[in-house]
Amino acid sequence: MKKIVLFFFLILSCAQLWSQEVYTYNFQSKSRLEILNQIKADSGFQFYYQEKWFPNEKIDLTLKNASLGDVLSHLIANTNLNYAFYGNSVVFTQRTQIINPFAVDSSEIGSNSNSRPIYYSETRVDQGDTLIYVGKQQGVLQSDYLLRGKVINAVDTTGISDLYLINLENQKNSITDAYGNFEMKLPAGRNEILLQALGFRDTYLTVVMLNNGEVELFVKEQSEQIPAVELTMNPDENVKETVTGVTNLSTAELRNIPMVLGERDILKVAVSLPGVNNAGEASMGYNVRGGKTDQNLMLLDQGVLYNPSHFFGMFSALNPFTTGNLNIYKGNIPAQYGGRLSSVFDIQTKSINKEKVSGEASIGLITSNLALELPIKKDSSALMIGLRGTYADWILKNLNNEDLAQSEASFYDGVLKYEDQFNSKNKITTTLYYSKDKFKLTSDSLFVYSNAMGQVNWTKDWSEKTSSNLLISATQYNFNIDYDSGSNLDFKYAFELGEIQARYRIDMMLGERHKLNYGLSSKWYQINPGSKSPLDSNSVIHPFEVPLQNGLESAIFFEDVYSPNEKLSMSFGIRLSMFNRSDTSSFYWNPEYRTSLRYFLSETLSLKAGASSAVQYLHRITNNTSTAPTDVWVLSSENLLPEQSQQVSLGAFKNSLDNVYEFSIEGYYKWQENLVDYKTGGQLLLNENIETEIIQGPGRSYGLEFLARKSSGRLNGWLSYTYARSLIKLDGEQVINGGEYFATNYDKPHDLNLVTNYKFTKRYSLSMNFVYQTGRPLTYPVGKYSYLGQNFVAYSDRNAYRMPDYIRLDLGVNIEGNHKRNKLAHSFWNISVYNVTGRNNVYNTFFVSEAGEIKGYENSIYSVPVPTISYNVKF
Amino acid sequence: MKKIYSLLLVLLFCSSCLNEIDLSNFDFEEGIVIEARLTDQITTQRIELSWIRELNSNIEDSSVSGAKIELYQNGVLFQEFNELQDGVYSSTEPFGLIQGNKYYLEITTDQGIQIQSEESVFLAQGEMTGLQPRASVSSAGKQGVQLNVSGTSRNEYTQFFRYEIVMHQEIKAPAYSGKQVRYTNIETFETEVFLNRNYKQTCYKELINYDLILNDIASTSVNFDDFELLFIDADDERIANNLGVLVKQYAISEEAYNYYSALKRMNLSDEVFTNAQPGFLQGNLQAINDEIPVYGYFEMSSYHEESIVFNYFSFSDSFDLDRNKRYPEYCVFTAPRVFYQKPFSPPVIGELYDLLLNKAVIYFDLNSGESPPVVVFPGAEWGGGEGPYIVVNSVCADCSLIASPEKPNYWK
Repeated sequence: MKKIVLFFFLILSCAQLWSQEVYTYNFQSKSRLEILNQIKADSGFQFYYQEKWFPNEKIDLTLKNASLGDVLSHLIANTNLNYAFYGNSVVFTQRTQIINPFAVDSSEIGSNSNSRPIYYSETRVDQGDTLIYVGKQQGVLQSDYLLRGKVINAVDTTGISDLYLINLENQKNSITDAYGNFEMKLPAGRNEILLQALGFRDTYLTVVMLNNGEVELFVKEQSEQIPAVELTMNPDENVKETVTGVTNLSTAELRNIPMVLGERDILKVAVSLPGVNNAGEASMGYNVRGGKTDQNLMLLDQGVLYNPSHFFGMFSALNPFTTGNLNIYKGNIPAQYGGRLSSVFDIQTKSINKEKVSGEASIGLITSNLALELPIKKDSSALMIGLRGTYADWILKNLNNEDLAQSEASFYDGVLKYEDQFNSKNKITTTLYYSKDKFKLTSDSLFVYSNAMGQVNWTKDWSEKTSSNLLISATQYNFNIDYDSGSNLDFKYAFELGEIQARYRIDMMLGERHKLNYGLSSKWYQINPGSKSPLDSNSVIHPFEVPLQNGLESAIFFEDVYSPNEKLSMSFGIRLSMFNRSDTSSFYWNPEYRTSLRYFLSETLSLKAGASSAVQYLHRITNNTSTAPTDVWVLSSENLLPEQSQQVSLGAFKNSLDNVYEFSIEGYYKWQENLVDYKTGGQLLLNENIETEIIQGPGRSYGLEFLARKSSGRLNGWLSYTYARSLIKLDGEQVINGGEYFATNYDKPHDLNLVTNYKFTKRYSLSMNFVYQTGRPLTYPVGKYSYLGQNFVAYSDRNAYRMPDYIRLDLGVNIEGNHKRNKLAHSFWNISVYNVTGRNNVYNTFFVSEAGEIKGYENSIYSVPVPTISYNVKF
Repeated sequence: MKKIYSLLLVLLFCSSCLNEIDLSNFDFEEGIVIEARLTDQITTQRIELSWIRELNSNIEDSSVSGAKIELYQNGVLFQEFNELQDGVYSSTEPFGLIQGNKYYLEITTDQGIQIQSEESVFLAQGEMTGLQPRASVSSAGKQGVQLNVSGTSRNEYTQFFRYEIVMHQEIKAPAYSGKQVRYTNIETFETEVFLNRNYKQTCYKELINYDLILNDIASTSVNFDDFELLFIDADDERIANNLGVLVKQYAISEEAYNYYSALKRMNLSDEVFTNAQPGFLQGNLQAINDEIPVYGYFEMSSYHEESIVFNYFSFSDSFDLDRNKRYPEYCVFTAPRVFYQKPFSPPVIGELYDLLLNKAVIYFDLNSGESPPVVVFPGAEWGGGEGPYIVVNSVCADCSLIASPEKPNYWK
C-alpha cells in the first residue's frame, strides 16, 4: 500500500513540475473548445472532458506567462466546470470539484464556487469514500461506457455475490454474480455509485468514466457480523418491488439449508416459502396459491420444462451448480408470460464467469454433480457445462437383495449454456437442456421419461433507453412405459409433447420512473396423447393410438411500470391471448390483465395490491393428488374449455433494523372457471375420448401468507406460515358431492415452515428445517355392498377425508474449508439428516381387492431418518 | 462403503414399501343399495333393497325390510311391490314397462327415509339377432371359444346394452351305475346291491357370470355383429360336455350405461394400471328427506334373450389340445372291506359300513380282483382294497349332489 501511495506522489510531483511551464495566449472571440484545443496542443497534456460540457459562446482570453492552471481557470470561468491535474492529465468535471488528498498545493485544483468537493485516490482502497478513474480517454468522450469488474470481500478476498451497484444519479443498478463479477453501463464522467450487500458496509464510490474499463473493488464486512447467508438479492426488494406475489431465491440461499440425499434443490427450498407447496415427498409438482400442479409455467432460461424432476420428484432435475436464480410469480404474473393460471417459475442459469476457468463439483451418496465455466474469449464469450447423474442403478445391481437387484433407477441431466457479448449492444445466450429418467420398481414395468429443451435469446440495445429481446425455444417431453411381464400381453406405451415458441419483446425506458415493455409471442404444440403397441413379436396386443393434437397459442402483450413519485409505483399489463386447435378447429381468445400497485407508508413499510387474470389452454390429466410422470397433457378443444382465473391480493411488507428483519403478510382471493377435474369412475390413461371423462367447474382459492425472515447475523433464517383453502364445485354433467364446493386434492389449510441456520464460526454452521402441513384430502372407502351380483366398495364423498398431517424435521451441518487466500479451490462438507424423527409421513393411500377381500395400503417414502454426506468443491 | 449404500438404498426403496391399513379404523357411512331394474317383459318384477356393510364385515344379510315401494307411470301410481322375503320385493302383479311412458320409483323405508328416482321416459328398444360361438384366440393368446352376440336397436334411442349371462354346464357322472350296496344283516355282515333311481347321470350345473358386460353401439350403427360376450379357453372344463348359455340383453339408457361404466372401472382390482377416479357415484336415485347416500341405478330396459348349447367337440377341428378333465370332481375308486377278522378275535364290521353310513360312496361294480380292477380315466384313481364291491366317492356316481338334474328351460 505504501508503495502505491509513494508512486502516486511521484506522479503528482511530476505533474506539478510540468504544470509549472508558462503560457502566453491572446484569443479573441473563440469558443472555449477552440482555446482548449490550442492548450492541448501546446501543453502535451491529456485532457478528459465531453465537448458538450463547454458552452458554445465565444470568449476573449488574454494571458501572459501564466501557468497551465491559471490558463485553465480562466477558461472555465463562468461555467460549471472544474478541473484537476492527474499525472500528465487534466480531468474536467461538471459541477464537482476534485480534491486530491495528497496534494499540498491547491493551485492544481481549479474550482468554481458552489461545487461540492470530491476526492480522488488510488483505485484499490478498502474503506472510505473513493474516487476511481476508469479508462483512458481516446479523443472525444462517448455518452457512456461499460464498467466491468469484480467486488471482493476485503477480508478473505473472495468475490461477493449478489451485491448491488446502484448509480445514485439515475437509480440504474447492476448485481454481481456468484463470483462477484459485474457489468454496468455508466455515463461518461463522474458517477456516484453505492455498493450494497447484506452483511457488508454500504460503500460509496465516485467513478469517473473516461473509457470502457475494469476495476476491482474491495468491500468490508459489517463489523462484528458474519455474512452467514444472503437471504435476499436486494435487501429492500421486498418492500420496493411493485409487482405483488413475487418470490425470489438465489442459489446462495441454499447453502445453509439441510440437504436431501446430498442435493441442494432450489425448487424444494421454494416449497418452504409461503404460498408454494407440494404433495409431499416424491411428488412431481407444485401447488401455488391453491392451484393445480399443471398451472405453473416452469421456465429454464425462458424455455419451458414440463417435468423438471427426477425419480418421482425426489430430486430436482436442475443442476444446483448451474442454477442461478429462481423467481416465482405467484400473484401478478408479468404480461409477457401466459398460458398458466397459478404461477411462473422463472429459473435462470447463472451468468458464466468470462474471466477464468472455474467450476464446482460435488460427490454424494446417490448423485454427483459437476459444473464447468469456460471462457472462450475473455470478457465476451463463455461456455458453461453442467452434468449430473446417479449411480443408484449400479448400486442396485450389486446388491444381494434379489428384489432390489431387479429394480432399475437411473437418471441424468445436462445443461450447456453459451453466452456471447458480441459488442456493447448485442448479447446472445443459448441454453440446451436434457434430462432422462429410467426406473423400474416392479419387476414388469419400466418407466422412461425425458425432457429436452433448447433456446436462443438475443438482446439488442437499440439506444440507451430501448432494447429488444428475441427468444426462440423448443421443448420436447416424452414418457414411455414398457410393460414386460414375460406374457404375450406385454406392451409399450408412449406419450409425446412438443412445443416451439418464438417471442419478441421491446423494453423501453421512458423516464427515470417510467418503463414499459411490449411484444408478441407464439407457441406451437403437438401432442401424441398416447399410443400402445406390442412390446415384441410374441405380444398379441393390438396397436392403438390416440389421434395427435395440434394447437397454436399466440399473444400480444403490453406492460407499463410507472412511479409518479417516490412513494407510489404502479404496474399495468395487458395480454391478449389466442388459441387455435388445428385438429378440431376450435378457437378461443381472451384478454388478460395484470395490475399492481405499491405505496410506501414509510421508508421501510409498504402496502401492495394487485389484480390479475390468466387463461390456460393446456391441461395435465391426472386423477391423483400428486403428479406422476405418466400424466398426459391435452389441449383445449370445443369440449374442454380453457381454464380461467382472476386474483386479487393485498399485502403489507416491512423491513426493520437496516433490512436485517423482514416481515410480510399477504392475502389473496382467486376465482377460477373451468377447472379440470374427473368424473367419478373416469378412465384417464389411453382413453381416446378423454374429454368425456373430464368435468369442469368453478374454483375458489383464498389464503393468507405470512413470512418473517432474519437475513443476517449468526442466527438467520425464516418462518413462513400459510393458511390457504382451495375449493372446487362440480355440478355439471356429473354432480360431485351434491354440487357443493369441496376441497380440491391439494387443499392443505395449514402450512408452516421454519428454516434456520446458526453459524458457530466462519467454518461451522448448523441448519434446521421444520415442516408442518395439513394432510391432503382423500376419498376413502366407507363400506361395501353387493350390486349386480358383484361386490363393490362404497366410497365417501370426494375428498371428504384427509391423510395424517405431514411433519418433518431435517438437520444439517456445514463444514467449510479454510478461507485462505489464493487457495486453488474452496471446499465444504455437508452432513444432513432428513426426517430426523423418522416420522412415517404417508405419501399415498390406496385400496385393492385381493381375492374378493378389500385391503388398504399406505405408502410412505422416508419412514426413517435418512442421513447424507456430500463433499463439494468450488474452483 | 457398500454397507452404507445398501442402507441408503434400502431406506430409499424399502422404506417406501407398503403398510397395510387396518380397515376397522375407518369410518363407516350408512347407505342404501337399491337394485331396481325393470323391463318391458310382462312378468313379476323384483326390486331388492340392502344396507351398505362395514368394510371388514362378514355379515352377508343386510337386507332392508319393511319398505314401501311404488312405481309411478305418467305421474300416476302404477304398481306396488310387496316384500317377498327379507329385502326382496316383487310387484303385486306381472307387468312390463311401456314404450314412451314416464316412470319414477318411490321407496319409503320403515325408518321413514324417502327415496325417489328421477322421472324419465322409457324409450330403449333392442333386439338380439344372433348368438354365435366361434373358435378363436383370446387376447391372452389362448385357443378357445368366443361367444359373440349380434343385435339391433329398434329406435334411435337404443345405443347401449347391458348383458347378463346364465350358463349351465352339462355334467355326466363318470362312475354312474344307478345302484347302491347296503348291509341287509349287520350281525352276519350280509350285503346286497340294489337299484337307486335317485342317482342321476346327467345334470346341469349353473355357472353365473357376474361380469358387468356393456356394449355401446353409438359410434357404429343400429346393427351390431359379433360383440364378444365372453371367451372360454379350449381346456376349460365348462365346454367338456354341453354348455348351455342364456344371454339376457337389456337395452338401456345412456345414463344407465355411463353409471355402470364408471362403476365397473372403479371396482377395485389388482390390475396393473387402475387409475379410475374413486368416489361416491350418484345415480338417478336420491333420498329426499335424508342425506343418506343411495347406491344403484333405477334401470328401465327393453329385454331380449337368446340361448345356445354347444360343446368342445363342435370346435375340435380348431383345437389341438389334449383334453383330460371332463368332470368337475376327482374320483377315487376303492374296494373297502365289508368285514374283517383279526387273529384270535371275532370278525369286525368293515370300512364299507362307515362309508355308506356317511353317504360317502356309491356302488360302482363288483370287484373282479384284477389290479387295477377299473379303467382309471383322467381325473380318477384306484385307491386299492380287497372288498367285494368297487365303490366310488358319491359325487362321481351321482351328479345331482353337485348340480341340478333338471334341464334348464332354455335348453334346446
